[in-house]
Amino acid sequence: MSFLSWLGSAIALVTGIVVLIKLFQKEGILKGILGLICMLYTYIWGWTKVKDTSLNLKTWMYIWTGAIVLGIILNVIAQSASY
Amino acid sequence: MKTTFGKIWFTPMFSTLLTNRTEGLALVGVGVLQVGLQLLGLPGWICPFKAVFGIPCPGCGLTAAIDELLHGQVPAALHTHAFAPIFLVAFLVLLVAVTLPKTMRVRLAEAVARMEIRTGIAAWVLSGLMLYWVVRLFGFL
Repeated sequence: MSFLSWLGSAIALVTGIVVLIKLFQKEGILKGILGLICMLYTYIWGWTKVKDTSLNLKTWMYIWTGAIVLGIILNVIAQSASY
Repeated sequence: MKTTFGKIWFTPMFSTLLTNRTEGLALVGVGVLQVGLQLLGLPGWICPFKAVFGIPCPGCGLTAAIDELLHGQVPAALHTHAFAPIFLVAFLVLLVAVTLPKTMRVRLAEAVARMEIRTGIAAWVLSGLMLYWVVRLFGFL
């Protein structure tokens, strides 16, 4: 179970990096560094730009969100099982 | 004439967040949710960097530190994350900006942009934060 949770986090990280690269390309270095410092900003930026078809963010954001949700569910299951 | 480095260093960054109301609202909403969850003792945003590598990212600890600041525990907050006061002030400015009518919001953003162009404060804060992260990392290792 913990491996699956880690896998969810790894998928979230990889998709986050893809979105972060697009953030660097679209918004410049300073906002890119802000996104690097706080992936939460990158996540929010991704969703605010999801309608911009030139960025092709939709699929990546869905995968990232799915990975986050999967990680949360697996963590909750793991914590419930430990009680 | 500014060099490329100078142009980047003195580029307004935070003011662009103030101008874009959608992004500002999203940031404020998520910020309130994140801190709210922390205050309730519930898990919030899980940093993917820390989850995968076990190493905190530059922003890790900000939520807990802001929670401590809101409880008046300033020394504890600075120990948790020294940049928490800066991010709290930035959040409050953003909160004010999203509540303002468009003309006032644009004026606020322009004033902030002038300050950023004059001082390069965004670049100073971000680079300082990266340096702080490296120093903390050696403390963790």
